[in-house]
Amino acid sequence: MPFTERIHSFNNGIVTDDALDFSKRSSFKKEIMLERIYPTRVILPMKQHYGDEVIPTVSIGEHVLIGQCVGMPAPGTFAVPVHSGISGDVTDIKDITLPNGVNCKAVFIKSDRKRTFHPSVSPRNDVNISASSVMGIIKDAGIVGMGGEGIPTIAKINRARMFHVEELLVNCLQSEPYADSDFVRINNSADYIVMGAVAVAGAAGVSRINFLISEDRKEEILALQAAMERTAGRYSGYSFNFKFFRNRFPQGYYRLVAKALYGVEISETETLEETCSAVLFNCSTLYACWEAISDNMPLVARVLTVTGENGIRNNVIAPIGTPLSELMNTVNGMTDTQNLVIWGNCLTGLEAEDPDNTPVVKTTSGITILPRRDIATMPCIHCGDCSNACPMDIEPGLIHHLLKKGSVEEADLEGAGKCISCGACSYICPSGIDLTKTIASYAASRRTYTTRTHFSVDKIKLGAVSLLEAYEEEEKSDSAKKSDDIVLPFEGGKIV
Amino acid sequence: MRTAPFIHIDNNIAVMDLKTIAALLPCVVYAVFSYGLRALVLTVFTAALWILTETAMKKVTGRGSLRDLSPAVNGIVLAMLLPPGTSLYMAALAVLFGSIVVKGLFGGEGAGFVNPAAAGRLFVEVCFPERMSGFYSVGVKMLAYKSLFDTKVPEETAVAEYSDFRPVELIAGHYPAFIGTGCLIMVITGLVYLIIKRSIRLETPVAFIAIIIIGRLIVDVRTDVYNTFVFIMTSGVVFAAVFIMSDITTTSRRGLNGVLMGMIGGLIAVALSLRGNPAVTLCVPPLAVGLISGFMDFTDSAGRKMRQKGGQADA
Repeated sequence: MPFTERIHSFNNGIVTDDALDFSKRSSFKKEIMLERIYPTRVILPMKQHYGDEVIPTVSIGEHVLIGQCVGMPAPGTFAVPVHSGISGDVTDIKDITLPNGVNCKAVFIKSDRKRTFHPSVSPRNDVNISASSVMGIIKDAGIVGMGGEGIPTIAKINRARMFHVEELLVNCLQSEPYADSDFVRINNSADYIVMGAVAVAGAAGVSRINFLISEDRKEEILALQAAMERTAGRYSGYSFNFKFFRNRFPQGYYRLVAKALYGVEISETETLEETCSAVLFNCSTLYACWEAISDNMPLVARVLTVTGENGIRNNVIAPIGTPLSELMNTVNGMTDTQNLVIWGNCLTGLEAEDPDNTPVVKTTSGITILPRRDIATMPCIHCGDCSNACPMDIEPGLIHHLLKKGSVEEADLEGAGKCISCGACSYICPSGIDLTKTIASYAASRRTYTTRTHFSVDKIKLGAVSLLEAYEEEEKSDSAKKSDDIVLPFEGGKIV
Repeated sequence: MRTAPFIHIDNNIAVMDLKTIAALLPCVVYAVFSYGLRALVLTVFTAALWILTETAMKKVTGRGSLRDLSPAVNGIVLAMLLPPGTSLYMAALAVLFGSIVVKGLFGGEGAGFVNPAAAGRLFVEVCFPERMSGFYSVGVKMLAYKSLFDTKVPEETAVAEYSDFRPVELIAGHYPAFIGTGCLIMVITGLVYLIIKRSIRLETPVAFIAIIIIGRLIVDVRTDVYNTFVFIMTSGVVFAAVFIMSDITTTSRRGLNGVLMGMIGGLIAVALSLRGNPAVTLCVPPLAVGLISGFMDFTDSAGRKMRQKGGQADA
């Protein structure tokens, strides 16, 4: 990294102890800890993305193969298909409720232990591929934002084309404690990420690709740099750059990226594409895009970190739909039923009350298992640590106090609606006060309801709406055609 | 169902208090080394009485039990600010004023507006100035237990002129002073520990000391700048900066406000130092800063509200 390179960051945030950062362990440990999971069954919810539920295309008793579509969007709906990550028999199709409160149909498949691929899953032999083909593949592969937001990738590409964005940003800023699934993906498959970025940039009509990464991720920077050098010679029309960031949580959230990179404060109703002329994709999403393009493999599996406070952790490649209980079995000492199983990471995740029937979905970057322990709560000492930690520059302590005493209007004036429910304030509070629950619930209710008079902390499910922004699929035929002239050469699924 | 976050920083209030107590230990060791076991009795007494008083107040007001170690911190800080000849009666009065009047009546833990230890110390200084003048020479009367129960006005050791102090003695704390503030090495040891443990915010203490140095240099430049050095060493302002001005409950919450508070405190300390009462010089600045910081946080919040209102209007 050149010394003159500017380091970007938002203000505040938290830097957790190195002890919680497993990516800083030795490469040897990382190598042996990435393993592929073969679950005995999968549960495939028909709504794993931001948008509408899809309709099951299989029936009970039917045999399915790896890569086979089991759920298709109804015509005219905002949704992407769902595919099976194992081969086996459909045992049930019934309603389930995910920890984020989403209630939808789910297809239950029991593995036949044969791992048979669908005939369509084979390396693509096309030598040339157009932008519209890339978009079609990404849409049909059911790819959504894998960093957690779950917005269908095709919707983002369409939006980027509509606003004629100038930059594609690759989000390599995973910053949650205990989680390093994205870094494992970068270290193992940097070529796929870079090629995915080129393909998506071509589809979106963008030539400038910037990789956003923390300055201290030396290993990942080198991996990406090498992949860029291998790719750049073949694609002279694209420029690659790094944008270095400070390592802190919650670096990577799009509104904070806008603040750090462009100095722009994006409101809840604005988008990065419209305001900053840039579109942001998670690096794992771009990996999935290239896997779909080159190998014709839909999104059926992902890397996720299975971890716990006891220091034991594992990065695994698990089929989408793997029940959490089967993942817990992969890590010694974490199967204790008294433990708290978290669907997601420990700062923003949700408790999974029934790990046997809670599946990994497309947006699950990790599961965390922690001992159940009550945090002693004390009165606020007005230390201001929460304000210093808040990435949105609000005063959580004051807002929490105002909301608790019912002064909703005053809390609103203090910026309560800006909360992104990152959990930094509650994590840092020395008094152990759960500030996030109160403030994020209010912020979510503010986005959901037009009237604020019926606000109640306990009525709102956290995680369901707080980090999501509305994206509409608005593809205009003229803009779709405008950049349809990109050519991505392939030969047998490999870059030529 | 529990909600995120599911992990919590280890540095909770009790742990922070424990770290502060650990940081104060070098000063306690210095106190015992310089003024004998009498100083230890005084320190343990103030800490224990503060804990008892707060526990009793919590029982009386129905606020549950004691959940942090702040009473112990307050008790030890107060003890460190007492002259070595202080009787237990005076110490008890200071504790009762600090814990009941200043801390208890204004909401208890977390709700204080000024540092209770500094307030308690100032109370006995203002009300009983003649009884707070027992400055023994260092190293004598190691076992003067009887004087702990003295109701008489203590003997006062004549404090030397600034020009009589030698630098090595000043740094080592070998001169009559408050029992725990005299040795710069011990105070700095505590500070280093707090920094390593990330348990102190430096903006206010640094600004406080910087302004005092600048202010005193301006005052002393006409006579002898060595006096500035002697003042910094003997007045206990470094102790006050590290253990009182850094009190997160009563100083301003925001970085820049914290600097401003330290500067205001420093100016007040310089002004008071010209009148010569060391206890007043040490205790009034944190109390003033505590009062002003509440106002500063209010204006900070009001300013942000106005900006947001303006933003909404623009939108």
